[in-house]
Amino acid sequence: MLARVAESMYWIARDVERADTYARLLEVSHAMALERDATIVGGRHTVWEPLVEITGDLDQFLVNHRRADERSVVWFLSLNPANTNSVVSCIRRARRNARGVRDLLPTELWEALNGIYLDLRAWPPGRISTEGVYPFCRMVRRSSHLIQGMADQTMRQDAPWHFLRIGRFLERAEKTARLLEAKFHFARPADPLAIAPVDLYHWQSLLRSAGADEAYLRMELGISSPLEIARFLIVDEYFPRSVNYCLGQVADSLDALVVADVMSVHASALVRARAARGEIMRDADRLVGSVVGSLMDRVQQRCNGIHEALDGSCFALSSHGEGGAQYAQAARQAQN
Amino acid sequence: MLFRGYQVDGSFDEMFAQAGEPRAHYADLFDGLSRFTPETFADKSELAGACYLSEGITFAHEGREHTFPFDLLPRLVAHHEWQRIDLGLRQRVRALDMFLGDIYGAQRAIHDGVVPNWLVVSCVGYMREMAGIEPPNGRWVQFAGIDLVRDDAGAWRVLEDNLRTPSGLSYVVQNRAFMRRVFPEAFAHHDVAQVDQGPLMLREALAASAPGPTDEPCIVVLSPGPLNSAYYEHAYLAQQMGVQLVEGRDMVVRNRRVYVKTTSGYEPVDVIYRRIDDWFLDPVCLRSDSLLGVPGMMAAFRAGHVAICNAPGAGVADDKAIYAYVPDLVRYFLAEEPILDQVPTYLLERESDRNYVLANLDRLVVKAVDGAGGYDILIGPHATPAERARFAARIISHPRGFIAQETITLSRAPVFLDGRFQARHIDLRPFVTYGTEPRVVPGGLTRVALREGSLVVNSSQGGGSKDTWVLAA
Amino acid sequence: MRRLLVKHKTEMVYAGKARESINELRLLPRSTPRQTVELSHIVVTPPVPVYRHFDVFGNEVAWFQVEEPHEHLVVEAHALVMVSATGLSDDAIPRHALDDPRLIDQFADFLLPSDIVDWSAVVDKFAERLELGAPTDVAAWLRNLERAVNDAIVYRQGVTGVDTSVEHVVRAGHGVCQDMAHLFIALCRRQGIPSRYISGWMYQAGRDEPSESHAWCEAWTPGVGWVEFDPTHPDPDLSYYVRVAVGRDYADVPPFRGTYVGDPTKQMLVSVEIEERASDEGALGIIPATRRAAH
Repeated sequence: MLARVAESMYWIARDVERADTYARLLEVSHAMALERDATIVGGRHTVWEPLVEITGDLDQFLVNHRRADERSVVWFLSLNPANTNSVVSCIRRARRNARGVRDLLPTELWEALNGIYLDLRAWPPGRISTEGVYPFCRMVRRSSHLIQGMADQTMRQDAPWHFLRIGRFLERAEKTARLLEAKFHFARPADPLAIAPVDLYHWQSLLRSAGADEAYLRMELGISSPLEIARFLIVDEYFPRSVNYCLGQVADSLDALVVADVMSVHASALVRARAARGEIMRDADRLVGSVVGSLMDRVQQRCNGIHEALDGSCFALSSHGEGGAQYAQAARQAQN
Repeated sequence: MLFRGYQVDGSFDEMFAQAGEPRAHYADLFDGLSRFTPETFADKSELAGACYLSEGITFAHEGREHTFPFDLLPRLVAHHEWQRIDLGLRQRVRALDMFLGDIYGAQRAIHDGVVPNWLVVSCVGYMREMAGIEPPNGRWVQFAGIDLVRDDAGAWRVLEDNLRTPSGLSYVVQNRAFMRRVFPEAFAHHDVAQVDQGPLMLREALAASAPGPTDEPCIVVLSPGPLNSAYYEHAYLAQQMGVQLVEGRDMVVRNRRVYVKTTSGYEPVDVIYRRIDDWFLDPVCLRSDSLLGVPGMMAAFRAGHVAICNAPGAGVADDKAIYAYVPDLVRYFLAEEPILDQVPTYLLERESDRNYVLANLDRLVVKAVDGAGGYDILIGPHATPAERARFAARIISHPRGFIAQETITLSRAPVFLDGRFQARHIDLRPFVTYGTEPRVVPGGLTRVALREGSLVVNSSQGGGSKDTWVLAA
Repeated sequence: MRRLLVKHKTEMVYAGKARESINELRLLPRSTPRQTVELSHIVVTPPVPVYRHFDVFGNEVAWFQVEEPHEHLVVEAHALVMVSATGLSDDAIPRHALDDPRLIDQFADFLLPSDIVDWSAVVDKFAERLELGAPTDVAAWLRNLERAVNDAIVYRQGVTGVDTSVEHVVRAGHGVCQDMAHLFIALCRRQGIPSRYISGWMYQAGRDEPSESHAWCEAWTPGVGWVEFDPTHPDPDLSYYVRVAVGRDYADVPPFRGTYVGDPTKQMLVSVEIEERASDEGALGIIPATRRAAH
């Protein structure tokens, strides 16, 4: 398979997944901020600053913005083109990549991606602050679901599809880990085994941010303890947003690619994915509140390691990442 | 009802010998049509149009995507007529292939005075880089599209040769597929030659050109990418042939060999079916601003390590002034009389021809020798005096750039428009593949000039197409 | 007769790094009736294989590729050449000998307009003002044209570029040797005299200026053959001129062209060193063995 095409597929999926995640985070955070008075200093710290921390770098953010509050952060995450990870930037990138591999994508997938791109382009920034965040996020998330659905239902599940799957689930694993890490860092539960009623809302929001609230409640565990929540989000093998599940999908697709001879059998990506998964399962058994943050930090590093392994093998020959343009040799020597 | 008001006069009609009287090979189709009303036929037509749209088969023109209008009534070619066309096309492509090898090699035809050197070297498609290079297996042309028309007496004539990057094969195959889906009843009582094998014939011709002994040559389709107007066809043919679609940036030259950049490393390439213009193939020795080609590709080609199909420089044969010499080239290289007739052509570099043409611009067709897509053409009888004067000035300042031909009233066929059949001018582009032997895909692309009275059939100027049926008996 | 040792060095310095550099060179002289090449070769740094072929005009072309990243690229062409001067015969050669259709056809490339050598009403008017008359005596007409172009165009560097059109040169009234050569060629072709462009080296013996790449031209004189002219230095002593490549115009014979990927070129340095050597010196001793490229 062409290295360029593989890399395009991977990044299309990662960027769509990222846009989806950030839209969801934005929606949940915004809801939280409404119910707590977010104008007071406490609100800023409990809602907006953590959000920036999850999606990027708070210190870097504060260089360009006076403070992290509703106005600045919503803009930053949704429509700010200067933020390479804003929703609009992710969708734009995904669409550009999709254009280059159009013949390999189902027509309806392209149309869905193109559609959200055009809708975002036409969305006036002022409309978010007047109508609120909810319509915006809903639009983005619906498109993401449509795109992912199209990929799963209408594409033949061969090499290009596998790269889509790897991109989607690697991104999801990493962001779930990030979310958990940030939560356990900011919330610092006094008692990992129980939740004080005043903090219940926060943990509900965490579940919602991870898209896990309904699934978790259906397990009838109640929102009992931070550790149970953490374990659910890390380990549950049936929930498609848990870190373990996601890494499992990544490993399965990598394996399929090796079997199909698309990826070299010596490439380390598959080994790393399996190792990461094994590590998580082992550590999750001995999970205590204090180590959740550091475990999630390690998970992110493992995800990054898998990404680097892909960059160094499958995507190595792709011209995407190579710097420099093509120049005609400045050798038009004048003859005197 | 469907043929209410159908005009047969004024040109050779493909379907009717006289009003209401279909030609013998169209008789069954005509009978079958009597079962339709304008409404039911219109419904079917819409279905066919929807096929193209839903499959996303579009071409880009002026920044927007268009579908290529497809007319549901097939164009029929009688068996005995096709046999002659088939023989003539194979003969012609064989001669053109030898001609190309000669002008970039021994130049016997020039030395023997068959074609003048100045004409050859002044062709826009003449590529000095190719002098002294011999393509693997000596084959210059693996795929050709030869445009044919019928004049008002119904005689078949070659209109022009397309050896650079002829397009349209994908429509030939797709049109047939849609016909089978939407209008299967039309096939009853007809024995129609198949066209699905077209892409495989092309693949075979490409594989036969691979350098060196190899059982499974690696073939790629080199495309400028999704922004190109014909991108759909590039992707479709790659898929139908089972080969990889690549862009210039997906390949690299190492040790004067071409490789594809894959997920598992460099994969050597044996044959490049290129759909990019000659001058963009290699920025090292051709257009230095080209980002579509592969730096060093020509060196690999020169070293005999890769085949480029059709060979760079084949565009000489597309030149409309060279066209005037092709019958002589057939005689010279094959020692045979040309089977296919051409359209009498005036070479405007010749003073006598030029004077005649300038005095008769209102009756003649003038074409730029390197024009493509139907642009840069003056159809004298249809032009305004101002347009004719402008062309006259261009001819005088650059006579080598133009040829003139008598206006051929192209044949017409029924096209379903506005609820009934109306006669429109058509032409035919059959496709010839040439691996070890020239072979012709039966039929080809029938192109329709949708505007009434228009003689211009190209897609980018409001043309449409028909499925073409070569009848087996 | 002169025995000249030429060292032509091109050095590219890139703003950062260059890679995937593929290039074609026209820096190898060939033997002709006027010059005999004893030795010629090309050395590239970083060292890579160099492949040679002949182009349609008979010029020897060297091709090489540097894959890995590099900050400098140095190409050195060395040649040891015996050069003599030849001139026009004194007999007047009538114009109509040029009208043999077979001759005209054979030299089509050098009679038709090319990329840079083209003409227009402006150029035609310029030619009329030179008052050269019709070339009934081809040899004399050419010599007069050489002088006339030299008089009409002021030599000035830095105002024209490698692809400056002939019309532009005529309008501006100044240019360098390349422009004067192109203009001479245009005016010849306009009169039906085949004419072509020569790129090469000029030995500036005993002068303060360094030797240099130079452009001149030649025209087909019936009964004699290709005769060289230099509008920049009319009536030249050709024993100072080493021919490297011929073509329709500069675009056919760039000494060095190609592409690379990376950072822009910061600097391009070209130097030409020519020295005269005694005819009895052994050739191998002149070019150090360690610097000979292996082909």
